[in-house]
Amino acid sequence: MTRFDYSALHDFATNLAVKLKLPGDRAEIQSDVLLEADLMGHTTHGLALLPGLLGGLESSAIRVSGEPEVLSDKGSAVMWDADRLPGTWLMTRAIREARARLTQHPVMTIVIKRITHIAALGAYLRQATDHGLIILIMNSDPSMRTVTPAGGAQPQLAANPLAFGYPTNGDPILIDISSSAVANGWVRRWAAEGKHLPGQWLLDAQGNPTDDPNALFGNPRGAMLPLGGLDMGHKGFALGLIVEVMTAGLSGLGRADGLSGDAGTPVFIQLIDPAAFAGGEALKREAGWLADACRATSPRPGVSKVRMPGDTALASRKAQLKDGVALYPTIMPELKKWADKLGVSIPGQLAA
Amino acid sequence: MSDRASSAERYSYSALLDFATALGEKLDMPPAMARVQAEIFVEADLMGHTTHGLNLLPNALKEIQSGQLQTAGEPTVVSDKHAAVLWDGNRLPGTWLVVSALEEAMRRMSETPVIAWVIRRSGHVGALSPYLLRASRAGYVVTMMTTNPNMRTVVPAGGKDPLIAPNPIGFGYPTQREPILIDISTAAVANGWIRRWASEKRSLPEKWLQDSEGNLTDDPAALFGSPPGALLPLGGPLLAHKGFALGLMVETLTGGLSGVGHTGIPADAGNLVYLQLVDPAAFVGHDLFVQDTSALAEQCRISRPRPGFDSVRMPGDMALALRHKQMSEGIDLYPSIMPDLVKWASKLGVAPPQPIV
Repeated sequence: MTRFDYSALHDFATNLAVKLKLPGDRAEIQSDVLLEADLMGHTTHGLALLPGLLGGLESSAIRVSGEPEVLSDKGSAVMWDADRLPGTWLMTRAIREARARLTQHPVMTIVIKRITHIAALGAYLRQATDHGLIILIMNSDPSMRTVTPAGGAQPQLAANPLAFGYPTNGDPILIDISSSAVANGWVRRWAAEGKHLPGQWLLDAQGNPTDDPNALFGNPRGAMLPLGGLDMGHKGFALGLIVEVMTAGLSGLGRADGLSGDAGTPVFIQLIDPAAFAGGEALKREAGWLADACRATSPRPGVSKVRMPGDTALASRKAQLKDGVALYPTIMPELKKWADKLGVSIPGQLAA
Repeated sequence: MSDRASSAERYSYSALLDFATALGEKLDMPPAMARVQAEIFVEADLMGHTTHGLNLLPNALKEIQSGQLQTAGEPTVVSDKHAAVLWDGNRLPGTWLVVSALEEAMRRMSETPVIAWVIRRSGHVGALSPYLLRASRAGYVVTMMTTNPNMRTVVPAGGKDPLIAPNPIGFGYPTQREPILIDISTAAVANGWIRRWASEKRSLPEKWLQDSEGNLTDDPAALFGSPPGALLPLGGPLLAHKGFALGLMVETLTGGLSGVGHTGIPADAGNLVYLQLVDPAAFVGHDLFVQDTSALAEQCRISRPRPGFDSVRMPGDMALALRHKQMSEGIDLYPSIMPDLVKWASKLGVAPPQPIV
């Protein structure tokens, strides 16, 4: 696998966006968030998204300047209209805003509509957990229908991810799960690589369960099952509805409007300050104890060890900051096209 | 969760409510508290949650008698920042504590549109749906999570030994018609069902358990063996990390925020509860909110079912239809429930209700 120096990649990604008129500070934040995903090993949601974002900047589908419109502000409950502002920058800005208000409002909720691609939800969590805070992020896409209701054959919802982070007295716990049996990006990659899914997580166009990733992209196309699969899909469907209601429902950017993909998506961000409850130390103690107890428990046959959500990602992050970022092989060739077009030099690979 | 037994006897809603209230009052529960407890338990039976309704009353009565459950006093306010509240429940009945918190949170909504309320050392809260119904019918989006740190039945993803409880997530929201009511455990299946399947000697529909060696099994008895087996998280063997993650989220918002989790657990830790209310009026507005939630629900209900299913249902559809029916025709009480309650009725000198003929 080819490796690149973190800061060289960061400069490269920033330069590409700046060439397309994204202001420098916003481009820096975009690079922070995308590279954080690659560092954590979320290789479908890091620099792999940059070509699409550059396309959006070029076509003005992404609005490079201006501020979000404040639609409602009740102190602890805020709603913004992003009108296609850059997702990575605006998410970071919203989390900062929520943090600043926490002493007065220990449970802060910000709902944003019409935001452009926010990349990996998990890449934002440390912006709260590093400050001893709990964070919940949900995102849906009313223009996308890929996941069926439980018992249904027709897709009605998107993969509706939910991310949740909290501090411990060791590393933070970083959760980022989709409410579908599997996320879109993985199905696409498995299809491209001619692999089968590990389980029957899809339905074909007739509604029959299958492990063939191509079923999702056929004509007529198939659908993804909700988390829980064939037997317990009502739970994943319920989770998808929770995400839908907190994002599309609260923002008014829902399916009732019949939106196109260019309209952006709705996002829900909530920060909780444990100081307003039993205190930050109590939270870290409890959360740390449980995390250590889980890690120390013996694994079941066939599993090498029990990991907490985020353990693998944080270990990968640490290793890649030191040894260089191992970019997924399909990423740099795509970025090279943009680099050539915009006259930006490509970072050199690190020696193997 | 609804499972109606054909041999069940039916009782009128009001007769069951009066009966359950009278039993509580006989053990010196204040009348309002006894009434709330009865309302919440009977509401669960109305909606078909037969393991978490009046089925829980005998144990609640036993705990009152033994002093494990208190019937006098108030919760201690550990912290109140208006939008963020922590109560120590002092082992008062969970039904009473949650309804009190819910009513106070709803009073605060116009000023504080998002409120998170945590309760530690609460008595058993029962099913989540009865509370969800109250809040969502009042127009709010409600989240409710509970855990019991003394109950360890669910393994971490990939682990052999159980460390957490089935940690349910409840979520309710209004539409233009009936609300949507979600009540899911973050385990592959809830404890109550395993217990019932075990007593009826039935296998589980899938391998949702591990025996004490960590091998996957569909035998419910594995959970109660010595050494005991464990429940898998939601997602089963392949996707257990997602259910485990949800279980941890519940742990954090209940045990983490209340400071009573797994370190030095008091034996009387009871239920830990996280309750959150959101007023859509502070965001898009109530009317547009319910317009959108109704449109989504309708789209799902009219969408084509997959082979083997009659129709697509929204969470709560069956429970609310059953509630409507049982309200007028009487409640099918699960057969094991009334015999247990009759023992208490004779002991306390309360006349049991007559079944509807």
